[in-house]
Amino acid sequence: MTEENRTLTPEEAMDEEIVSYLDGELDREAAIAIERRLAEDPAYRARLAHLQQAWDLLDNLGRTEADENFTHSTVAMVTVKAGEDSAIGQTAAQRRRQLAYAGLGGLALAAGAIAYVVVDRSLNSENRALVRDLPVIKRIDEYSNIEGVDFLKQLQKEGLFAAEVSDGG
Amino acid sequence: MALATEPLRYELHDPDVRLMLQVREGNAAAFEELVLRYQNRLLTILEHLVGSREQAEDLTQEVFLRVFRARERYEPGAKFSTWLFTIANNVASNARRSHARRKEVGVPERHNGSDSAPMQLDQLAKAASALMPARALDKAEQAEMVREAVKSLNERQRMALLLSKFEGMSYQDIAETMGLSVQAIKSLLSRARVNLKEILTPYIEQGSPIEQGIKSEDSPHNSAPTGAAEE
Repeated sequence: MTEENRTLTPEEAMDEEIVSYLDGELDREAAIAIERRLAEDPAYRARLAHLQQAWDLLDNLGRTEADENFTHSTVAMVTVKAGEDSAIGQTAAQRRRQLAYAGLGGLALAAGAIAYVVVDRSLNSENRALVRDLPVIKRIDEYSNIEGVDFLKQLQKEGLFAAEVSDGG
Repeated sequence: MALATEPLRYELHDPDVRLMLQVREGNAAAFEELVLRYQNRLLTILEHLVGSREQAEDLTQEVFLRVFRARERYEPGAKFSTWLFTIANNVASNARRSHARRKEVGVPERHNGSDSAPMQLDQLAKAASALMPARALDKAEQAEMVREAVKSLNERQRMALLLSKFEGMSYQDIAETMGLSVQAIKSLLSRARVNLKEILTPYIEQGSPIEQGIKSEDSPHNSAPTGAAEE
């Protein structure tokens, strides 16, 4: 559970209220209510004083001052790095262009290969069908005399096709 | 009213936003001016956040580098300082994560006073009480004690506390900077102050200058809000 949505104990709620007051974050009405309680409640007053004292001790931390050369070295470092970024950016752009050209070349090759396969298949599909149907074509005159499939099935039952089947026909 | 619904034009109200817009247009002098204006503020926050001057300088430079790299995409959608400290917060978080990863893979670290691991709360409190009875701490010892106390806070409490103390930021601005809700910031700052108080109580109660301070301020008339005056 985060600090934000955890249920506060009454003491924690009081601390939040005091700290908000010390930070000037309360509206006028809430601040007046705190001040009224401060006037009446010594324990509340002591709590506020302790929190304020701990806060005031932070003044001991002091502020950091940059050295004389810090500004110069920072601006110089940023300029150099920005120059490097620019050079890296140009190299990267060049590499991206090369990759794009290579990719386009690859795509063109792949498209050519696919087109070849498709055309080859479509051209050969008729011949393949003819080869597949060749045994039928050879006997098309005989088959045209046959009345229908039922007649053929009857002939097969009688074993008339056994010789052709064993020949692979 | 029509004005109430219009988005805030930060370039009209914030001179640093105007400088950043000049940086976007390629004005190098404007960038240098921003570095001059913000370097000490960033160094202060980052040094107290990471506990090392050297690392704070590196991180500050990293922040300015990111600002410069972002110049072409920059659109004023917040106060410049809020935007800058958002970047600083991200840079510091990234540094902490990579530091943690280095620890995981066993890369040896430097050990010196400023980079040492923070003491536990109870250790700090004991240290404070052990030092106190004999004599009041001098200024350097006070500063060291407070630094250790701040280091013992978790990173988010520490960042919220530093932005509040040193930048005088409102809860709303801290929330925007850290990407959290205002209520979360309220909780973070409250917990941070309570933790500080607990660590530093022996110091507050037994250090003579502080004791006098408590006595003199233990009055409703002296307890006015301070947040607005700390900028």
